[in-house]
Amino acid sequence: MTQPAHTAIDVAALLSDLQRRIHTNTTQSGSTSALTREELRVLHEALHEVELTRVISAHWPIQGVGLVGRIVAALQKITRRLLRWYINPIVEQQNAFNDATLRALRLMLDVFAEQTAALPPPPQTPPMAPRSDRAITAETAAHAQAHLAANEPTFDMWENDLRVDEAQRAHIAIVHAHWPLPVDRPRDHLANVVHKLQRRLLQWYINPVTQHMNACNRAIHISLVHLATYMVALRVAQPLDHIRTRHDA
Amino acid sequence: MTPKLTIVSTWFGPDTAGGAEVAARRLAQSIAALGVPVEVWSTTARDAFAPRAPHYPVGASTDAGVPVYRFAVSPELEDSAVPAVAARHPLVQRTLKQLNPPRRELRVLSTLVHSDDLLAALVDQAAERRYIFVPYPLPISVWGGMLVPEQTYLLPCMHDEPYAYHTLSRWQIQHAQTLLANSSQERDFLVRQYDLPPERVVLSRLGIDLTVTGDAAAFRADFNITTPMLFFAGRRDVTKNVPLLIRYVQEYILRRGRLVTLVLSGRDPIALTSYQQVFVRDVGFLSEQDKANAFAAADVFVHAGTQESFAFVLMEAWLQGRPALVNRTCAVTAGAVAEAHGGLDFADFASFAAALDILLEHPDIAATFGASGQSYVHTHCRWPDVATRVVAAVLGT
Repeated sequence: MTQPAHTAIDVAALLSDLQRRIHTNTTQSGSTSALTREELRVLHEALHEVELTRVISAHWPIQGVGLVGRIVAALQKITRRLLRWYINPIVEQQNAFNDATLRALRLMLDVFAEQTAALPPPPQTPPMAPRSDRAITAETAAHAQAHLAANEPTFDMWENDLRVDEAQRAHIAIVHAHWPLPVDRPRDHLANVVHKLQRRLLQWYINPVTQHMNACNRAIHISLVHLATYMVALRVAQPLDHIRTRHDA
Repeated sequence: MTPKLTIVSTWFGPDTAGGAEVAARRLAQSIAALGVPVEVWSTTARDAFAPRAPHYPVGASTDAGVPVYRFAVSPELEDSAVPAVAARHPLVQRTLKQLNPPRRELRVLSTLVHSDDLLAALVDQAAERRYIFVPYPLPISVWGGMLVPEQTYLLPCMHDEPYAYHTLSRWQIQHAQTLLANSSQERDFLVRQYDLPPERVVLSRLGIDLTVTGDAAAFRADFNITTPMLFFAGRRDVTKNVPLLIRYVQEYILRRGRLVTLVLSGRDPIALTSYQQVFVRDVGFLSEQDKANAFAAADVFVHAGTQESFAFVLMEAWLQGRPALVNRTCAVTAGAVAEAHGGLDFADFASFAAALDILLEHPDIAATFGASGQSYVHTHCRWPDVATRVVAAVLGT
């Protein structure tokens, strides 16, 4: 199979570009809050981890020590060569997806930072003064609460929406090469013995691939978590900082 | 001969955290204080936060005057396996064959702490004991209830949750001699969910220590709290809706333009972003006195969790005369707030913000709610009364 159509990423250029954008974001945008900078730093570290793990390889060095070790290594190399037609295209497709994911993450980082830079500065006075109604009593509080709530502007819970799948995503980010083999019919027991033997004989080949995939999946998952956090920080960090400063004063 | 009352709790002891486990310990002490013989059987593990590692020694000991016997934790089971003692017992074999529970139920149970030694002792000494299992969804309660149904009494600590719909839970609840409910809402749920005759579920309630007095000024000074303060104590995770609570408080601050501090207490770690640290204060695990101080210092006790069977913390907040703001979706806490006139509930951000406006802007209303809650706690949460009801339900005396 030919290499899937995607452009290879220049790691050094990407990191340099990322550093430049971080510098720009934290010194020129409207979100210069130290609170935002911290979230951006964490996000940067997470993206760096994606960069380090995004390339999955099915061809790492195989070495054997001693005569037996060398024979085993030779057999493994032959096996790998024989299965290359099967495994390599899978890995290449995964790598293409990982590249695309990293690009998307970088793009989102840019867009959010640019949008926030365009926001007006937060107001110096409370956006909505606390309301007071001296006629309220404990007996009428629930009624008053319902009345006040009806006038409260809608709260768009997009932050919750961003987080809702995090636990599930963390769970499915782990690729297993050794899942429980099902037994639906009695003869499955025999088939499973054969499958377990095959799996055992190939674990030197398959397990490192899944470990690499898991490292990358985990890095992507963590990046998405931190990206969501950063998006919220861009919206709330500076206003919160202002409110705290005003309180402290 | 009167059978000996034996409380069976997977985790038990002075270092053990968890609502059901704390309830089991206080209940044992209160029954002993009545002069009724009571023992506790447990394992060597500490609690759900450190599930398997031995923390207490195997064997007999005494905890605050209550005899305790701890059994060794058995090795982790294979996927979906049943503990050996239960697996070879004819009653369990027959019941499992009849129930044919889904594999996922057995799988969940097989991952949790169990003790074959404890299960064997339940069978060996069944003739001379009555067992109160606490809480319902753990292997020792499930398999124990199946091994000795005639001697099984259950303090389930149940709420509307996935475990409550398990085939094994249904069998367990329906075959217990008597169920002890922590609240009228839990009692209603048990009767409705399992088609039980109402007399099988006794509203025994739970108690709290009514002698603790909090020092609000000390807490505010110790933690330098200079803003209106909201307080929550418990697990700081999604099961208690803490992320939602943090977002609501954050939005409230942004909209009202004034700082309030959300103080969170609990044993488990919580990860806060730098901007959340502007308004969230993690004070970690507090001693009973410090916790009482925190309740007293709070302008409002907030509880966004939806899955409770009692909520000790709500009662503890009321004991200190503070108003509560709870999740309307939670039948137990919202029901208690309605019964006690001890605060307000919320269904969404709008009602949350409106409630905070009222409770923070009207200290007189907050104080009235707090006083009503305090009165409710003094009426319903006396441990001697709870222990008397439990003993009557289990021993019939």
